[in-house]
Amino acid sequence: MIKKISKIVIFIAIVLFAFFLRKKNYYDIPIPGQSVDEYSYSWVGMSLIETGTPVGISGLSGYKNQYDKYINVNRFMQFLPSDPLAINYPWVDHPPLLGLITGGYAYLQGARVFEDTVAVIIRKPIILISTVSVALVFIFCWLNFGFLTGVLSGLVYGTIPLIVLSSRMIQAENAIIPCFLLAMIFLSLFIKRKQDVWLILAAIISGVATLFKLTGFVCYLFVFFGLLAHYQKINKNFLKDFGFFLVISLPITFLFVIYGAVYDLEVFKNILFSNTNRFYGIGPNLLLELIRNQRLTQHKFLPEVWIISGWLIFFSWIVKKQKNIADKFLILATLSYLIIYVLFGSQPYGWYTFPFWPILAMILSRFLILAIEKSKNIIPVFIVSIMILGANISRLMGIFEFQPFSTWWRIGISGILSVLVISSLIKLKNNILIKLVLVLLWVALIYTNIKYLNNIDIAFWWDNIS
Amino acid sequence: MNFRKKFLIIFSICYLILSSLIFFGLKHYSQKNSSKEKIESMIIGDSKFKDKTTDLCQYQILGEPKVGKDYIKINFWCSNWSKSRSTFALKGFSDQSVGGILKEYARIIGFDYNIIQDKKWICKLNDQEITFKNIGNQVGQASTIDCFENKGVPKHD
Repeated sequence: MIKKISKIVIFIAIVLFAFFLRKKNYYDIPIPGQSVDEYSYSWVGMSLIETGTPVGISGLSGYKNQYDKYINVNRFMQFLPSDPLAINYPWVDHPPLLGLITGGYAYLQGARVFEDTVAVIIRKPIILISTVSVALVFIFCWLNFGFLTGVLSGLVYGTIPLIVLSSRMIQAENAIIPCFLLAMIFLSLFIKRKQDVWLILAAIISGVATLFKLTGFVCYLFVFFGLLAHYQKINKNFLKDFGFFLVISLPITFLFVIYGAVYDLEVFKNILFSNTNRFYGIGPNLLLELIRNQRLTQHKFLPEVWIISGWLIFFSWIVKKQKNIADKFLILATLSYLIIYVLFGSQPYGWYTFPFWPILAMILSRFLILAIEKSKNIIPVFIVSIMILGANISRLMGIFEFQPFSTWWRIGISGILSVLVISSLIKLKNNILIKLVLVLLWVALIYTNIKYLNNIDIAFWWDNIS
Repeated sequence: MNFRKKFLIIFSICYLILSSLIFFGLKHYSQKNSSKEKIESMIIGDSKFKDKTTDLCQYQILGEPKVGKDYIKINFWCSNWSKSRSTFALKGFSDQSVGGILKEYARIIGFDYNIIQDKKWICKLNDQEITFKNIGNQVGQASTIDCFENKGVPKHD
């Protein structure tokens, strides 16, 4: 009982910690206005509540009503080169659920005109939603791989600087992530417990995901692959389960069409088709960019070695087939979103890649914890940990400031690596000292994440984040 | 009847109610509450969360819009040698008279338009002084409005 309670206390502590990291300076960083979508989503929700007509930024051809207006919320146009915003109505670029949450919250706080939707108000709900995502990452790993993996994945996903900053942005992807994670949790419970209620919940949450943005279809794709991985062929049981899933989820997605029909089905259809003809700005090298360059917006890069490492391990997992269904789920989740990313891709906006990150954080955590629990891949785990630590340290201090520590670094790493090679050759297992070194390394990783995050204020943002 | 069938019957009933509510409810609500004027006032209404400045050189708009000659430059020159220089795309202004543009500029920047008159700012459109007579004139492409806090203030860099 005490063990169970202490686990729950640790879970709550990590989630709360992730929440406070996201909350610190949330209204300043990322600089409001670097993505005007953040305002647009809120305007859509607010106008829908106030007038029954959604009004937002689009500029897509097919709309009958357009205003070009300078709307200087947070006086962001003082700092960012700005053109008039193309405001259209009835705005049907995307489903309105995220707008209803952020705009609805702003409305409750007294916002009535567009310039009232200041970042300090509208970003609050997304901070909560993103914190729920951290909790769900923890829960998925806890349920499927054990408590330790849950702890590490919660800490990793909760503290990676790029992820913390991205979690503050009002983008539909930040709302799709918890739906995607819930679909993964519900499907894994359905497969484990054979209770229909879990499939029903997976279907409902998959439908809801598409009401944030149509890329929420990733949940459909994931459930399709997940069931196929479970049954291993398209048999009667697979068709029965997936059919049942679709009968529930598709009507929920269809609510978007009903919503579009309220205003003008012709305009709705035009906008939907305009979306399909969007400029494919991610280009043919999208996969390389996805792995190499992590972005927050279109032009703000913050390459994150945590995520690059996640990709490397993902590739090694594909090469070496996974037997555990939960491991397979992580691979299938990544592949599902990769398919959606390639298919729906338009401009190389950072937020299109957000849904990869919780999955990669889970893959990475699983990989690291296996070294402790089953003494698996200790050398690669050490190298990956050092790679991330090195990158984190180099963000905190320049190469000249690092010189006093260089002797420790070169002797320490080469020494430990030599010991690891020898112990692997003589097949020394369960070496507590080696495991202790790894745990200390991970503590240092999380510490350097937090330290870097604490450095980021407005001046640091302009000076250091290209 | 098995669990799945029972669930689907309840789900269908709830769905019919919800979708009807969305379609008919939203249609009715929209027809009752939505108008062009209401939407426009929502888009360009003054924010209660935005502080109004009395220093007209404190804020400006950054960037040069890529609109060919369809722009207007608005500069405010203050006596303490500070300045505010902005370039706007003309399409961002529905009223393109001199007065209309200055009013919209005051809204965008966040100051009371009447300050210009009350504090006796001297404004010029393409170096021609703006008066009551010509404040209703339409501005042309690539025009510049310069406003000086008082007569002795020059344009300065």
